Amino acid sequence: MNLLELRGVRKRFGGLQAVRDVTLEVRRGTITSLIGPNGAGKTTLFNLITGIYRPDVGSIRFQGEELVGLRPHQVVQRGIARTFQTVRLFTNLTCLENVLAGQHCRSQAGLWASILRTGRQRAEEARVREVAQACLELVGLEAAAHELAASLPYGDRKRLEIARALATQPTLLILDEPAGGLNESESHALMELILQIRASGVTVLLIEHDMRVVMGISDEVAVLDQGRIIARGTPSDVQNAPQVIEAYLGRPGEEALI
Amino acid sequence: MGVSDGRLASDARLAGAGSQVEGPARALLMAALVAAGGALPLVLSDYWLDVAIFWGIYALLGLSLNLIVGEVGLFNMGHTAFFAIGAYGTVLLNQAWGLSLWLLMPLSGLLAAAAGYGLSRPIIHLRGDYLLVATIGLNEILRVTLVNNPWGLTGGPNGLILLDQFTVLGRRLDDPAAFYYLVWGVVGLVVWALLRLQHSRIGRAWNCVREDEVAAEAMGIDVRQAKLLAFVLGAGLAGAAGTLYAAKMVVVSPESFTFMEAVILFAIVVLGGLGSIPGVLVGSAAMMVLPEVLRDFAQYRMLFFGAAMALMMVFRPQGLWPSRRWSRQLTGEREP
Repeated sequence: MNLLELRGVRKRFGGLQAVRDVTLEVRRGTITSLIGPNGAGKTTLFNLITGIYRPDVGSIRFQGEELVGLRPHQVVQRGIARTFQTVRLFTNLTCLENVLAGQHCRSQAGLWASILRTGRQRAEEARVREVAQACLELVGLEAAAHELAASLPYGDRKRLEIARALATQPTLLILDEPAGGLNESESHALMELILQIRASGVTVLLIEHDMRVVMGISDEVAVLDQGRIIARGTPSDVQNAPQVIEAYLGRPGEEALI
Repeated sequence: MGVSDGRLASDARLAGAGSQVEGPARALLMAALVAAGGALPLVLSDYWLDVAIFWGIYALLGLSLNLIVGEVGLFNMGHTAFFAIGAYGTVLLNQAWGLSLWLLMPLSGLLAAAAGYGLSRPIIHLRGDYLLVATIGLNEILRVTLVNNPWGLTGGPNGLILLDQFTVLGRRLDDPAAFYYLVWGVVGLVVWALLRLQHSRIGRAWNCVREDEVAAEAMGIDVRQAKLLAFVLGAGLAGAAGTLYAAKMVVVSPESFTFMEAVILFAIVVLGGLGSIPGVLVGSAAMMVLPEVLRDFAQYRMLFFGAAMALMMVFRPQGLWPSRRWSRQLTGEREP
């Protein structure tokens, strides 16, 4: 069964049809990439899946359950975590505290339990810290656990955001341009990390502009152009599809409109 | 306690801003402070004990507002409303049914918390300055309502008189020393609870909401619920402080709950350091004790106040005793 299924999803903002009739499946255990020119509607699609926007029409099913109508924090509880295109960390909190936030939805200590420090609350707190620590170790930031997120260099911030998303213990991890702004060795390390995440059993859905990353690690690629999926398949299928070349480069013989 | 102890020790190490106190030294310092506080009634005159009592009451109010403004970042400039609800609720319920003040303190807290829930629910989604204006409005509506004496309940501009007092084994806690212990005992209890809350799942969620609502939501935090919880808790705490205030003042009248009071509470939190519990204690001392020390210059009080605020914002925007986050963010200091 497909892990995530979008059927006929549309979203309009005023006069702009940002997403028109998208149907897309993400198979369990894969790395699926969503590519397309700027403004194609990729991030909008992510925001629709994660509950930040609500589609005008269409259904989004995750593990068989309808997601449309759920609020973002409920979507996270169902097992979908995300990162942001423009890194959105809690900059005045430490790295560890950032990652601990991801465990919020996997713990339940309430007001009184937290004040009285009941046995169950202490056990939960210990477990939550263990998970957070493990996530920091996975991205190689355990030494920076007590640094403020604001003090990290850019590449580490992106890794911290991934660790924070993983701390929600997701089934599906959605990464919005994780390689954006990274240098070559950093994006190489990122590819390793994403493969490692898949190996641990988490399905990955990726928006990415860096074609080396996309072609290097994706099991499946979908191409979005002007709010529509115009091609799907393995990286090599998509690379050679004429409609994809056209979307990126324009039609042969067409005048440049400058 | 293993995990949390390590955590507290590391917090103390990170405390920044000069307070480099570690484990046992910290405990010793705390014990010394408590002992000094306990001995105060032996050396202070009744007049200064009264000052210390008001310091305690305003510290409670500051702590309650700090939950809302400092921990979650909701600009609430109408906090006096909940304080007023607690104070009036105490007198009215005492007059009606003769309930004991020991019972009325939590009851007024619940009353103010319920009011906080009802009043904040429709406006909690507002951001920054919009919420600020809405809360100022709430405060004014309540104050004008109290002045207008609806159904002859509130006594209009003259207010109400509380005839009862906290009693222990039939003895009224009228004398300043006893009342001082009562107020600071409550402050101690509240500080203890808030410190634990700060280092819990709930406190962390509040801070995440303050930092970035969208990211907090994307991490599975119910932002609306987190905000409401902080607001209701803060309102409830202010309501409980209202009982102490009514018992101390005896007369409860609308002039005690003006917009200026809300500004003072806000100033306590900002002056001390947003999100910092010791900061609130220092800030409330600055607002309540300093004016008494400078009594000879009373007519220049607002001038001092304004100048101090302006200087603070220029030279020490993080507050007198900032939470470690603020100090580190503003100085760019890194952990060694």
